[in-house]
Amino acid sequence: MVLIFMGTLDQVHLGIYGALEKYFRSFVVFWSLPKLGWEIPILPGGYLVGSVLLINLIAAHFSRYKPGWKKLGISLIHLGVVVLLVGELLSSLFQEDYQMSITEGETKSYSESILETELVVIDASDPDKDIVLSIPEARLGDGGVIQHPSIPFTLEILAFYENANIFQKTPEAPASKYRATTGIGKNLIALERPKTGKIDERNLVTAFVTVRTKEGPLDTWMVCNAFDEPQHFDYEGRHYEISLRRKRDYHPFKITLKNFTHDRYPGTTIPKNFSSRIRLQDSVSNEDREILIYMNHPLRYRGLTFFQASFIEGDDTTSILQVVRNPSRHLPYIASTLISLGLTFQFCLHLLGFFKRRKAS
Amino acid sequence: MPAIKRLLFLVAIVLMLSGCKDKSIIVYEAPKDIRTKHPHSEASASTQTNDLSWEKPEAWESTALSSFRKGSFSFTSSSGQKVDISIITFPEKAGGLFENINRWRDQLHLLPLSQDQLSDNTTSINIAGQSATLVEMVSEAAIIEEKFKSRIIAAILPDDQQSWFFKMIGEDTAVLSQKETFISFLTSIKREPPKSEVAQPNQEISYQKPTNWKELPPTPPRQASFQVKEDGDISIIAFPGEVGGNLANINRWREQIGLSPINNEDLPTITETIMMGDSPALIVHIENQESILAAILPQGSKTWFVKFRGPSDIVSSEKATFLQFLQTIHFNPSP
Repeated sequence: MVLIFMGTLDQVHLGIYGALEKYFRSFVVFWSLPKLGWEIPILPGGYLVGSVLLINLIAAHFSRYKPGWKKLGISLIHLGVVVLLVGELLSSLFQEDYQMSITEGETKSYSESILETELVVIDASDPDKDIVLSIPEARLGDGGVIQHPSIPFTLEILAFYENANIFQKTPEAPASKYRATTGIGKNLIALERPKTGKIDERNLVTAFVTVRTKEGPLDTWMVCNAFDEPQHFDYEGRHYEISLRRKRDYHPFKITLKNFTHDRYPGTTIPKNFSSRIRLQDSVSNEDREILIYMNHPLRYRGLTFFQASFIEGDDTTSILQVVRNPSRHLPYIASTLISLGLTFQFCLHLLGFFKRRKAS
Repeated sequence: MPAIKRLLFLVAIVLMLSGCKDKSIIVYEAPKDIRTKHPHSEASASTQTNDLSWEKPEAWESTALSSFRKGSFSFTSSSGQKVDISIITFPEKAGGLFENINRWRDQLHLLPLSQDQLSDNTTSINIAGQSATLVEMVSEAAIIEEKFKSRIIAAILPDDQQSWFFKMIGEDTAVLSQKETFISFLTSIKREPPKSEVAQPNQEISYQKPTNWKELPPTPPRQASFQVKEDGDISIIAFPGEVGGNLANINRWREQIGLSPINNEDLPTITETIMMGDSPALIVHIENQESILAAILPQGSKTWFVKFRGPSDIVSSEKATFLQFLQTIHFNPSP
């Protein structure tokens, strides 16, 4: 209870994802002493509480379990709770959350990660398709030189900031260790700042990358997820794009937003309901159909679930779909079924006993 | 004991899985993004980001923008009916004129037009020196709260790399009342050079200005700006983090007034530390024909720079006032 209470309160400072990581997807919750920077453990984290609960449940079951069908309901309830706890653990480890922000008339075949970014170097020489080299931000944080057989040059990661302030380069701008020699970043400076977990704030993930060829360094680029456009360069007769963007998950199907409705209660800005009519086209399975996605009515397709998640305030044409891949998404349903069966069985057993006692008396 | 070992093993597995982030580099083929279909040079990239500029008509109110919505306004009629005016860009032709007009007709529950009917239902209008298509449609049924008809007046401006959609939608009579304003608005739109996304600082400090200084409107990234006598310029700026360190910034200032850089060992000889409230601030006074007198103050996650630049005689004569001024600066909590 204390953990949930504190985690909920701290969402104001950390945002939902920050609070989730700190309080519920950790073994111990630490508190950082102001100025000293010492980390003091103050609470058991969600993993620890869940693990203890799980062990306690299993231990209690085996120490008190007595064979016989009269305790079958209790066993089912226990099993359901165990499945629920294991399901949550698996979800926290393996669930992937993406978003698809799509505007009426637009067609997309990919979703974008809510939290993760990627550095991409795209060989865009082919007029029909791109060859994308994707480097996850976890690798960018290590810095150093990145070599890959798909590119005829190396990438030196000079700096990687999980969040940055970006300013125009003016005489008043402060000294910056890293500078872009070309592209949009040539006239900008980036200064590292702490990462934010707040939903209403955006991390400007930024990196300085030098492309090194066998002839020497080609140029240094500032890449940032705030830049709308990729930056371009040519080498050995091929055309490349470089950008830092939200990590993409490409799908073997495409979605077109036909219509987005966003009704509000009359005279207010409070959302009443919102829905997206989409066209799903899958060239592999030859599916081509229209689907209405609305609250509590997601589209489930190829292991992904598309929820109607949000909209952009003031923009009645852009729908935001939450795209979730959760291999253990069935476990809560199984757990609920087991608990319901157990409760029903136990209730019926007691009811029968009650009737028998009443009849006997 | 084996049970404890098993438990520890399980905990270790969970720790490994929860602590590891995927660092593997992957290569894959992907369909081209629509916006990158026309490569390739920096020049073409800047053309893609070319923007239009406009003046908001007085009767309209600005509303929230989004990644697609480059302009967003609303109008409320005297009877309380809302009209939404949006300016949206899409890469390329975004489905084309025919598809988009029929999509709007679908929103008004109207039957789609055929290609032959298109020219009879559209007119031409000049926007930012280019020919655009103007279209107007009204619903047959009362589709707003089942009481009012809905009307759309919209213009589509195809550009080299993107299409612009200017759309006014709302209750029939309210939209009609703004038709003339909307048309005038469209014809007043101009083309602007590209801009970059730049963080704007907030006002986070308060201070007592000396009476002989003239306060000027701060231009970002300045938080405050003062003129001292004729040529003395004082700026207050905050940047996150250590911003390159004291030496790098002092050498940058030395370069600005024509002095050679110094080493880390020389730093104590030209700096002193004073207290600003509870925090120590580094004071540096660099003199040449021009002088720079500055305070560097780390405060929270930011570093503040209070910098006085001007002719040496002005900076010297105002040094005491400047140091007194530093003591009046108060840092407001971040919003």
